[in-house]
Amino acid sequence: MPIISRRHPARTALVALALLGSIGLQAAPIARHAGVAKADSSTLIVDFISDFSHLDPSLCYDTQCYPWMHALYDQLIGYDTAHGNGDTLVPDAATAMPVVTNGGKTYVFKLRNDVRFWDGKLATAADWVYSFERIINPATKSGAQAFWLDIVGAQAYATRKAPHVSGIKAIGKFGLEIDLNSPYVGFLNVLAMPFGSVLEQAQVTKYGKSYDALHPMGTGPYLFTQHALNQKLILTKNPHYFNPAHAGHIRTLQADIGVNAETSFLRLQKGQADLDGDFPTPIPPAEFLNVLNDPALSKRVVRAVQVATQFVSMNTRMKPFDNPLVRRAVNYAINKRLILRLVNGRGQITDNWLPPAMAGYGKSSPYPYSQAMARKLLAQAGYPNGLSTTFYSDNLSDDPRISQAIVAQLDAVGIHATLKVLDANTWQALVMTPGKAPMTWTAWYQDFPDPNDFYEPILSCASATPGTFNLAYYCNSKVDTLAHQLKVTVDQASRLKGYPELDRMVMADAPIAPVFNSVYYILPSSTLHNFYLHNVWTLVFADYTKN
Amino acid sequence: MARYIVRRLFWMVVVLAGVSLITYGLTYLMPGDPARRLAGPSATVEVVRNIRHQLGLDQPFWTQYSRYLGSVLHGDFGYSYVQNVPVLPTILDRFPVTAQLAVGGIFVELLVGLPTGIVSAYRRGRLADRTATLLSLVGLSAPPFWLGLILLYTLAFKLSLFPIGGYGSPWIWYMVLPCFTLGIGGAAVYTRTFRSTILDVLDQPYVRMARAKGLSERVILFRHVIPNAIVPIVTQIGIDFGYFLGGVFIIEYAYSLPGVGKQAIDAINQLDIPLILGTVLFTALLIVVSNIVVDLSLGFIDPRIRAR
Repeated sequence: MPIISRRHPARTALVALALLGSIGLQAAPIARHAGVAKADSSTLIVDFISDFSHLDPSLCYDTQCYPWMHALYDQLIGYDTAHGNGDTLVPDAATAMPVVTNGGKTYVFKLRNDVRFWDGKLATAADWVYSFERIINPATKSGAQAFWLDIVGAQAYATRKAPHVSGIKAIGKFGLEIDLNSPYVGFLNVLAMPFGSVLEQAQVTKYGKSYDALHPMGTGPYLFTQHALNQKLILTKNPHYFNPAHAGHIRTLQADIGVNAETSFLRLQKGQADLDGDFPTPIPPAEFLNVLNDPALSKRVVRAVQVATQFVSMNTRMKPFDNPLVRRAVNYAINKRLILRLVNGRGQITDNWLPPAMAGYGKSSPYPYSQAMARKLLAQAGYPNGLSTTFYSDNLSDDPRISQAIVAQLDAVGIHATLKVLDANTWQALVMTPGKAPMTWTAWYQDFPDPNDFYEPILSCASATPGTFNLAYYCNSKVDTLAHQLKVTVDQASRLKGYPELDRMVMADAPIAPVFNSVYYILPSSTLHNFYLHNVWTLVFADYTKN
Repeated sequence: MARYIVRRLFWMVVVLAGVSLITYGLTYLMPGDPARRLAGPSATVEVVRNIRHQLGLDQPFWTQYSRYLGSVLHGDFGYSYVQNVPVLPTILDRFPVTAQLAVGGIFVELLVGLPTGIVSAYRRGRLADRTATLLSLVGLSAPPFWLGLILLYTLAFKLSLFPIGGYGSPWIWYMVLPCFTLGIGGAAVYTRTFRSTILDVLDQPYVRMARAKGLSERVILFRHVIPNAIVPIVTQIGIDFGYFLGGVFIIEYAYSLPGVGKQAIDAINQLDIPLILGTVLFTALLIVVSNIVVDLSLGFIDPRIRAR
C-alpha cells in the first residue's frame, strides 16, 4: 500500500507536512555550520534600506548614489579630500586646473592621456563632449540640466534648435574648451558634481535604458562588478586606475540593500557590516543616546555639520505672510534651542540662511528669540489679537514632531496654526502648488559648495514659479541683482565677501525662518579606518582602509 | 468541472481588468509628481515638464490607461521610472523570496496550528486546552515587527544562531526566523478554527457511530474527524497564501528581505507608477489564482462540494 493514499487526503496532507517539517528542521542545523559572512578586511560593506536610484552619473541626484558615482567615475576636477572638508578644487581627469580667459567666460582644460574606461578604451575629448551634451539633452531627463544651461549654446541644444552645444569644444584628442554666457566661478563646482563624469558613448548606446542600473562603464578607482537589483551592488578595485593617490585601499565595495536601520545597527556591532549609508539618520533614533553614552561606541561616532539649512518657509504671496512684519514675528517666535532638543541635539542653531560650512557665510542674529518682539510685530502688522493659518509638514523622520513644536511656539505668540502632516509626495505636490501652503517646514541641502546654489534655485525671482522649491515665492529685485552680480564676479575672494550682505537682505525680508543646520552622525565599524565624511561626496570609499 | 474552470477563468480576467482600472485610476489621482521626484530639487520647471512629457504623464487618463493596458496585454509592464529596468523581471526577481516566505509561513501555521488545535479539542476544558488558548492569544497579539526584532536580537544577535536579517545562501537559514514570525500569528488562528470545527465534528452522529463500532480514536481522528474538519482550514490557507504572496511588507522590512512587499512600498514612496501597477496586478493575479486552486481543491477534499 502506498504511503500516500488518494482515499485519505487529510492523512496525505499530514504526511506531507511531516516530511516538510523534517526537511525544514534538518536544514537549519546544516545551514548553521555555513557561518555568517563577515565584512573581512578586503570588503567594505555598506547597508542601505533601498536600492540605488541610479548608477548613471547624469541621473544620480541624491546622497545615496553620490559616493558611488565618485567611486565609479571621474570628473575633470574634484575636491582635495586630503585637506579638511575638501572644498578646495583640484584636477582629476584634467592635468591641471583650467586656463580661464575671456573675462572668466572661457575654460580650457588639458586632459590626462591615461584615463581609461574599464574596457581599456581611452577617455578622450570626444567622450567629454558627448557626456556634457548628454546632460543638457532633454532626452536624458537629467535633473541637473539647469546647472549646465550657462554654457553658450546649451539653451538652443536643450530646445532642439541646435544639433550640438556650441560652447563645448574638443581641442584635439586631449583638450576641451567650455564657453560660458557670463562668468561664473561656481561653474567649476558644477563640473566637479557627479553629472560632470565622463561616459563611454558606445556603452550607453549599446545598453540604452539598462545602462543605468545594470551596465555602467566608468573610469573610476572601482569598477562595476554586479548589481543584483534590490539586493547587492558590488564594485571591485580598478587595477588600472590612473591616479595611484586615489586608487583605493579596500579590494571590494559591497552595498547590502534592503537592510533597515535597526538591523544594520546590530550587523555593525557584529562586524557583518561597516557602515549604514542611509541619510539622514544612519544611527536608529532609539539608539542614538545609547551610542553617545557608550564609551566604546561613542569614540567611533563621526559627526559632520551638513551644508544645509532646516527652516520654515512662508509664502510671501499668501496672507498673512505677504506682510514682512508677520514673517519677522515668526522668526522671533521660534525657540530654536527647544527644537534642537527634540532631535537629540543633532543640529546646530542658525539665524542665517547660508549654512556656516558654506563659503560666503557671515554670522548674524537678526531675530533673537523674543515672544514680546513677535507679539509687538504682529500688532504692528494689524493682528493685535493674533491670526490663524495652516502649517504643513511631511511625515519623514523628525519633521512631524519638529513642526508640532514650532506650531506650539507660534501659538504662544498668537499665531494659531493648524498643523497638517502629509506623506512626502502629497506634501511636495501641495507646497509646490501656488496659493495652497501658507507656511511649511522644509530644508535645503547644497548641490555643490558655492553660495549661489542657495539663491538661484530657491530664492530668485526666476524660481518664484509653480513647481520649484522657492516655496516662499520670494522675489526681490534688489536681492536678485546682487545675487547675479556676485554670481558673475570673477574674483572669488571679493565675491564671497558680498554674500553676508545678501544673506542680511534676505533675512530682512524674512521669507524664511532658519532654525538649525543638521548634523550627520554615523557609526563606522571598529575595523574601518581613515574614515571621514566629505562635504560633497559624503563617503569617499577610495580613501578608507580596513584591518 | 471543465465548464466551472472556464467560468472561473473568465471571471479572473474580469477581476484583473477591474483591478488594473482601479489601480491606474488611483495612481492617476495620487498626489505627487513623479516627474518632479525624478528630476530632483534643483531642476527647472522646463526639465520637469519635459520628463512628464517623455513619460506620457501629460496625456489624458484614458489615453494613458489604454496605452498601458495594451502594453500589458503584450506582456510589457513598462519600465521602472526610478531604476530604468523592466518591471516584470524586477518583480519576478523578487518573487522567489516572497514565495519562500509564503510557503514557510503556511508551513509554520500548519505545523503549529493543526496539532495544537487537535490537542485543544480533545482536551477540551483541561489544562492543555487552556494553555493552547492562552498561547493563541499571545500569538495573535504579538505584533510581527516587534516579534521579529525580539527574535533577531536574541537568536541572531545574542546567540548567533541565525543571520541578522538579509538574504543569502543557504536561503533556508535566512528564512527560519521570518517564516516563524509570519506563521505564528496565523497558527493561533488555525488552532482556534481547527479546535472549534473538530468539536463540531466530534458531536456528529457518524463519529458516535464510529465509536459505537469500536474504532480506535486514532482511526476516528484521521478517517472521520480531520477530513470533515479540514475544509475551513484549506479555505484559510488559500486566503493566507494569496495574501502572503502579495508580499508581507512588515516581515520583509523587519528581516531586510528583498521581497515583493518591500518593493511595493518602495515603489509607492518613490512614486514609481509602473512598478506600483505591475506589483498590484501581479499580486491580484496570484490571489485570484490561489482562490481558484483552493476552490478546486475543496471539491477534491469534500465530495459534497464537488457534487454541488
